[in-house]
Amino acid sequence: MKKQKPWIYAAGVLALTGLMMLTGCGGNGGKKEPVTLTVWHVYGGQTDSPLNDLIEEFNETIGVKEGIKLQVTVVSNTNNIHDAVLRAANHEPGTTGLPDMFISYPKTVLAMPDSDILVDYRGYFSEEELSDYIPAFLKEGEIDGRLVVFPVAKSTEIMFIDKTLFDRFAADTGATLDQLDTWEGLFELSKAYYQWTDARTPEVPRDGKAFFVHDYHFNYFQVGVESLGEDFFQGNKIAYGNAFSKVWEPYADAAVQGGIWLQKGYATEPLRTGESVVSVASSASVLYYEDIVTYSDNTSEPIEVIARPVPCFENGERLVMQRGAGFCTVKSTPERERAAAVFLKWLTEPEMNVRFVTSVGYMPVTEAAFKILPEVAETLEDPKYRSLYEAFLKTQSSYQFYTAPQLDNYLELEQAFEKNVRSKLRTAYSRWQDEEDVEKLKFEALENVKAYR
Amino acid sequence: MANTLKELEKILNLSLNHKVTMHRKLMMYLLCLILAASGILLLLLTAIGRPLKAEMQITQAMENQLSSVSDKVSEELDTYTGYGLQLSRELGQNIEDYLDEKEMSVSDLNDRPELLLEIQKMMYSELNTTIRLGRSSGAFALVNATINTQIPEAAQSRCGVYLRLINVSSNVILSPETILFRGNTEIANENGLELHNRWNMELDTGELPGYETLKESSAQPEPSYYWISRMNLKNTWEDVILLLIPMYTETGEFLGVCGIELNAVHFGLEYPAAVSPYGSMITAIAPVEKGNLRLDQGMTGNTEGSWLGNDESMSIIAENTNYSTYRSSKCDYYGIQKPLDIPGSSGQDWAVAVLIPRESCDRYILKNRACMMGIITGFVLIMIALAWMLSKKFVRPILQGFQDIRNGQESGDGKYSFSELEELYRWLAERGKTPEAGELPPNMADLFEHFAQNVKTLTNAEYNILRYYMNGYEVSQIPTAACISMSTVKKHNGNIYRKLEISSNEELMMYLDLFRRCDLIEKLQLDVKTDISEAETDK
Repeated sequence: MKKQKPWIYAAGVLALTGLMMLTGCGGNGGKKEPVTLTVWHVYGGQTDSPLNDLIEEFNETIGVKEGIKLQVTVVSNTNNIHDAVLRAANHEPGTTGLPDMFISYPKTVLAMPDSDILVDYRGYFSEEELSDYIPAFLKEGEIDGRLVVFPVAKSTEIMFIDKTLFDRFAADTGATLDQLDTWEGLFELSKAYYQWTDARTPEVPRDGKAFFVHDYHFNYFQVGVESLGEDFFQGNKIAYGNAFSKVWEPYADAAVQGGIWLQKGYATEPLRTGESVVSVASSASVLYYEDIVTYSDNTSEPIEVIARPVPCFENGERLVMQRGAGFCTVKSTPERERAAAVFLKWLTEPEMNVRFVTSVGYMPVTEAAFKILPEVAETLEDPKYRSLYEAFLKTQSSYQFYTAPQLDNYLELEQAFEKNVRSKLRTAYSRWQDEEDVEKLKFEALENVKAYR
Repeated sequence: MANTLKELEKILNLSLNHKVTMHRKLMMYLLCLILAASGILLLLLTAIGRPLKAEMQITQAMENQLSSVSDKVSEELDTYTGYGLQLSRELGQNIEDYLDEKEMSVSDLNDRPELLLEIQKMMYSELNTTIRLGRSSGAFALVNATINTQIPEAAQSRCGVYLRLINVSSNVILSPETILFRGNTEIANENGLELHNRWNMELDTGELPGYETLKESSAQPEPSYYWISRMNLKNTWEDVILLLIPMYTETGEFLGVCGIELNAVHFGLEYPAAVSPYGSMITAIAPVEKGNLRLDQGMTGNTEGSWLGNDESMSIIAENTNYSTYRSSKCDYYGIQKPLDIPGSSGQDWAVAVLIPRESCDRYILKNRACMMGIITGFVLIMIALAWMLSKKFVRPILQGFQDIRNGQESGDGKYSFSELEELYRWLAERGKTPEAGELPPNMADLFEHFAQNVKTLTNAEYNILRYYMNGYEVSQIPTAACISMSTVKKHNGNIYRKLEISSNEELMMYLDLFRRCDLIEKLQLDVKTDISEAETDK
């Protein structure tokens, strides 16, 4: 009789068990749950954000493959995100906590109570990978030797012009676009435009409209002073030297006489309502300029918006503010941090990066992407974007880029100065409407501005 | 105590030393088989997913979550509705008072920008209060008039104010910052508001389903408010659902509408995905249309940990007693839902649902099932091993006994653990033993011994008669040979039968023949002092 082998029975039972387990695997497959990252960004503001569309694309492609899902919960401007990040970082009551990734300037990181909560990207990017990026852009994102603000797009200041309105003004006054090459020329046109619009209602004196609006008056003074060869900052204060007075003069002259928009808010707003014609703002604001203007009687008309490099002083260096926040990633698990790095690598691949930046009005961040940018810019459908990238390339070829220093109190200085200058000049304009002397008003306003250090 | 323990130990030892019967061993073996069979049955039941604890746990978790979010959603929507109704009452009254003061009707406000600005200022004040108190992501109001009736879009363009939170993720702070989405820029300038990137001066009633119907209907005792299913705010990245409340004068004139916005991002933050061992539990409120859950028209909470998109229409593909299976374009979900008591536009029914990705649920169930099956498999294997060992132990002595018998070994007294086997061995040993020449089998010797002993109880006269029989005489020959009468012979015969415990002459003849054949007839003596066995030994 053949000898019994008990292990055969045991193996049989195990095989049966395995089979049963496999039958339990039946049903709809589906995908493994993703690592979900929340994102706050600025690319699109309140508009239909192009980055949101790209994030959707990422989720559908690389995300599915790698098990990563990005979830956008805030799209706003950098100031709002700055406030929200600081509130969350300080654990203020009512905040929802920091997202996994957020867009930030280094100034926001410097203002955080502890920047160590942010990931150092050098842990997820090799030196070889980092060598593809423009070194200056990486340098900007370094805080205390740690790469915590990762560049995905860089902007510069650009001048936008409502050409439809400008042409109407030019037809009557002989103004030319070339006059906008210098600050002196721009401010002269500002005064002329105010008078031109004021003349439409002779029955109401001094009710003209502003010609020019600057997103950040602080940047005008900072870059202006630096372009004249002086330091704008003295330590962590504003220097208020001779160059400042030179920069102040034409600006204040136009502002007191109503040529400059001094209300709160961004430069896009008065252009949207036809309250001004020319703006200097971040190139990224191209997304917010609509091809239509709505007047106070709710009538509207289509307009043509064009871009040019920012003006410079007649005797000054061609200098332009270079801006552009980057992505910060909050430390969590290696899996989540790696997921963030995967997304950033995808977003900064040359073709993808150019596609991204040209949809939001930025410059790319790698050498390879810069090489293909001119070719792609020519193929852009929207004439506003084509004009922007023409201005971009002119700026790149003929201007020096200026980057603001990393001061701990930079944001505080900026906000206070911005508020102070606008307020003092608004008051001066109001008094000018009551026919007070321009020179006196300019001098008083300057003294009032200087009083804040 | 020590004595008691010793006693117990003794009892235990006795019971252990006690020979176990084959029957008991077999009973234990069968018991193991029964247990193994039970285990296999349970394994099969588990494999086909019958009474699983995991499903019950998931159901319980979903029910708890649904109960919780359902209460929260109802409370939140009730709060919005309350603030909305309050807004409509306050604002309606203010506008009516304003119109009374100016002695004009709503339609007289058309093309009167300065009057409409006054109305918008009232609206801003009320809307700002509503957002701050009601903690909604936005609020709006419009009057049934436009600033410019000459523009092409005038029929749908209505003057009003739409305020929205700048950052819905910080909506719970005491002074949330708002942005002007619709309204006169004067409102923004006066109140330090930013204009929305996609600002417009007036509201487009074409984007408010049911507005025209409200406009045509007269005032009702209670305002007929309703929620508009999810829509994208034109040219923005944000989706909202809107509570629309009409405003009427006391005389029934339609003034306009006001309402509250519930933002999709805001909803996502308010209803985070609940982490559970079964996967992310996602909350959704949505209209139910032909049995489908229209997430594309409703609101979905945070979908962290899942691939659920908010543009799905989910159909129920399977229902069981615990929960339903919902199918989206990408994945399946397990979930439960219950009706949500909110008025929807076009009479839509709404439901609140809790969904868990099927993948993670199945994985949990499978893990649970695998764990259970592992335990049962282990149990079954142990039972099988035990049965195998027991059976082997059971048959080993039997086989040993057979081997011993085959080898002709001596008795196994105490060697085998079965009493039956010991008995069998003895029996077989006895049975298989070949008697030596002249030696009687044990039973026969006993029989002969007993008979010979009985012979010794006879009297001499009776023995003389027996001797005649032993010498081959017949009954009829004895009276002549012994010179006695036949009746005397018969009397002696009766005594001989009784004493020798026999019943007939034939039986007596048979015994005598046996003694004779065994050469033991001489042992039937009265005077013989030794027993038969000794005599046999001597031989």
